[in-house]
Amino acid sequence: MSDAALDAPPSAAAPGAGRRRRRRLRADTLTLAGSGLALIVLLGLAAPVIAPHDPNAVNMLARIAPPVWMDGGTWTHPLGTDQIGRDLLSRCLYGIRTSFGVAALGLLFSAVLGIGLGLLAGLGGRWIDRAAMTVTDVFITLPNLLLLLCGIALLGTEIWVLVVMIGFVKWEGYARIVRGEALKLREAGYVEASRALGGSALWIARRHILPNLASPLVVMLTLSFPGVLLMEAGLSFLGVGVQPPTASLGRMIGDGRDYLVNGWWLSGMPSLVIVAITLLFQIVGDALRDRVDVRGDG
Amino acid sequence: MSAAFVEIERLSVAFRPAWPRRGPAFRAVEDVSLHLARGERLGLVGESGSGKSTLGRALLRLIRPETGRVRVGGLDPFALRGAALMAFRRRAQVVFQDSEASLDPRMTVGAAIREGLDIHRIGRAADRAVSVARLLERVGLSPEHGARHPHALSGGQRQRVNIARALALGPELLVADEPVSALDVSVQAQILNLLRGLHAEFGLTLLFISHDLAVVRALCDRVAVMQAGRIVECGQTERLFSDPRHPYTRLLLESAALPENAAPSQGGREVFMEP
Repeated sequence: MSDAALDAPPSAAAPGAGRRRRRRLRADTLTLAGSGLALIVLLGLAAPVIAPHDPNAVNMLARIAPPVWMDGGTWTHPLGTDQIGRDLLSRCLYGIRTSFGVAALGLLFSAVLGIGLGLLAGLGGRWIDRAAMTVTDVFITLPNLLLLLCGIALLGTEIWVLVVMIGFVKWEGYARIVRGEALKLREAGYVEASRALGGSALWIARRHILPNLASPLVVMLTLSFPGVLLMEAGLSFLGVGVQPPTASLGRMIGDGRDYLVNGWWLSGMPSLVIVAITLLFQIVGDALRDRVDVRGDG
Repeated sequence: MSAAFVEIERLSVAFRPAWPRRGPAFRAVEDVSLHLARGERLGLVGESGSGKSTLGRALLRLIRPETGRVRVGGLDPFALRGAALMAFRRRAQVVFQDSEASLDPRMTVGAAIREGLDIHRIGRAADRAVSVARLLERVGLSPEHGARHPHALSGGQRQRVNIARALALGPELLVADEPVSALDVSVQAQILNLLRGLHAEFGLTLLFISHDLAVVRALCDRVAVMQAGRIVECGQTERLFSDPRHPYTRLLLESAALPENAAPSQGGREVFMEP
């Protein structure tokens, strides 16, 4: 028995090394996916500089031109053109700009709304909590799409309406999480000590609750970004989102759907961009969550 | 009793179930009257769940009593608003049992000690930093500890930080809610020494809540015994330990007289206590 144990290779270090390797792998995943996202954002931001064509310039002589690697493709339109000859690469770049911007602003708006209401419910009195949660519950039961369509029907289809409406249907999640955490954290010893020191509810929210909520909130925001992006894309696909001729990824997919047989790239290219963004966000969110779960690490 | 600095008169604190709201209440504190003279060290003992901590919290306006009256320095904390309430906060401070939970894990120790100064906007940034360094030294830590996070400190060190935070506002009344119960015996002695020194230095009025009779005996002038929300006996420390009158007090003393504590009062712990 003891001999066997002595003969065994010095594997004591192995589990630690394995964990280290896994952690490095995770860090690399985060760096890699994060860089990918940064690149996409950068491409969107730089669209006016790097786009080879005006995204709205029509060229009826080069309609439904294939991408460069297919028969008949040229470097003039590396990703091909759409049904009225607009350059798809340029439109994708501008589309990233539009879709990303709408989604990011909508998410920001919803986060501010949800976090504010969650803090109010969690730290305010019993009646404030009850009122805020009733409103939240009612909102959760309303179908998002219905709410969005109503809002757009009433307010029009400008971009800011889209941002506000997306923010308006997405805040419940944050409100509930923040409320729950605030209810839990307000019992913490350091919150009670802060009250004894004279800290107001606002002070406690700012100095204790929000900092302790920051990491889970960042993870949650990252993980819900794809959903918001798809919401914008979905609305634009339906034709009630971003209006033509402004390029948006969802709009482009919608416009290309009649040409799926003889020009798959019309819908395919923007779809690939959406898939890439969604996937990268998911990976970054997962990696961030893993990192946040490890307490006191780094 | 105009000399009393803290007056608690017929105080009751009830906890009601969330639903139904009018359901039967649990009375954590029932009809308690207690006076503390300025500069007095009063020990509040009793088993867990006897309402000691609830009483302390009500005194600090951290929970609202159902009936009864509290006066600290002649003022009713529950009647105060605005600036007067803030002034009360500066006069009455607290140290809790769980030294780790009492410190925000995201805040450095220095920031935690500074919190009271930040809330009350006392001094400029530089003054506050000086105050924090001085407080750290006063409680037996070095100014370098200020940059650390709570998890990098030991339990005893964290409790020193909690004491420093409570002292930052220059309180007259300190409620110490089982401040040493989670600590090793040797560390307990150090913290008790610290509290004793601070009492002497600042003339603190101390409400010392504990279930540990030996600790209370070592620190307090007077002891109140609490059972099921009521104070069953209250008297000078030596009198209470030598001549307990209430059966519950006798029971507490007997159950505490385990072999390790059975040594005469001059032995064991007492040696550590001398400042």
